[in-house]
Amino acid sequence: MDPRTSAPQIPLHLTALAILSPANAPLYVRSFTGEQDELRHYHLAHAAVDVIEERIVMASTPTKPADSYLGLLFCMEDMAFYGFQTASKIRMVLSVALVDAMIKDADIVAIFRAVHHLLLQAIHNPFLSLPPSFHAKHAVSSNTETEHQQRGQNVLGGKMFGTDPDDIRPEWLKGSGAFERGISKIGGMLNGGR
Amino acid sequence: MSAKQYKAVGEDGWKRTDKVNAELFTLTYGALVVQLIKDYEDYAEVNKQLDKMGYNIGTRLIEDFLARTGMGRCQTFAETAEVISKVAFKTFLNITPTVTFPPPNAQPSNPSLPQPSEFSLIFEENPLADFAELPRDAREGGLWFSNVYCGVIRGALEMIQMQVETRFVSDMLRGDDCTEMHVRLVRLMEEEQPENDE
Repeated sequence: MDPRTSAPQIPLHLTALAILSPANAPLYVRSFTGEQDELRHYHLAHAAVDVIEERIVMASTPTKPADSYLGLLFCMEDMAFYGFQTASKIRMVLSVALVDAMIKDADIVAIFRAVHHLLLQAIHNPFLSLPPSFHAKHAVSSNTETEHQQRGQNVLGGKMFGTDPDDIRPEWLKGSGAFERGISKIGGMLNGGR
Repeated sequence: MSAKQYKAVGEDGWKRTDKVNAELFTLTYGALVVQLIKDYEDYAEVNKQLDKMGYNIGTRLIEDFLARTGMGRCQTFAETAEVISKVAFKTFLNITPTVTFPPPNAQPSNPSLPQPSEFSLIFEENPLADFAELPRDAREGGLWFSNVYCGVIRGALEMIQMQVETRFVSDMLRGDDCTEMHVRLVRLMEEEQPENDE
């Protein structure tokens, strides 16, 4: 089931998306309005983190809910910021251009779930446990000398799948073609040509 | 049997098989391939090992398949192709790869064999590769991620007296347009002992 199929019909303009690790380190920042705004959106997303922490403290009960949709965090300039925290404490901040029309919470949650789904798909790639500089003997090798030098690398000790949310590396998301394409699609669907 | 009947047998077979969690299956296979890569550090060798593992699976899977679906002997190699696609893949993986035959005016590789003696399977979806994205080294290195399929088909057909040669021609994981596997009949065998690949 593709959560993206339930995208809202009203003109919702996404301006930026930021994904942060449990330690508030940036995992992925994507600006839908152009590259030059990326840094600004990143800073605003960080400002949103304070609000997230506050809301989590306010909303936390002994039995913590699984997926915490944090709702509208705050508004700044012409953008509204929405927050979402997954069960593994990964935070997502979505900024939307302010429109007069009513924005339904369910729509924003649908967007967050779609992004979460893409994130999980990108992390499940088994090849992420290979170091980026990994090199093996090619099936049709033209140069046989260089391969043997690389064999000293100790790749056998590493974990197969990164188990902690803290283990997720930003390079994985930036380097995953499918993830980038998925996020672009979401942005494209809801961008309204800004 | 007609195509519709094959489809019906396939769907029935799928309904009756026990299911396993799809993510577990995909992640297990992915971990297996990456572990092979780490151990051998040689993509040609990894391809060979995947084919070998598939061969061992195939020699045993054919019994399961025949018992489950009760299919009889195929009259032509073309029928075999249809059965593999619509019944076998459907029963075990719930996918139906498309069967294509070489154009009729092409030179047959071995005119003494019943024609058509080769076919291609085109996979629109591949459960083994759901999450995988090949890094550049693996792509350039000639890794066929789903090579286990080649071994399975080769092993299964060998147990029913058909010696075939299977290989991947293209793979979407490598950036090609489609994932295509080519199967070629080498010869029909008399009663022989199976190759011991343990």
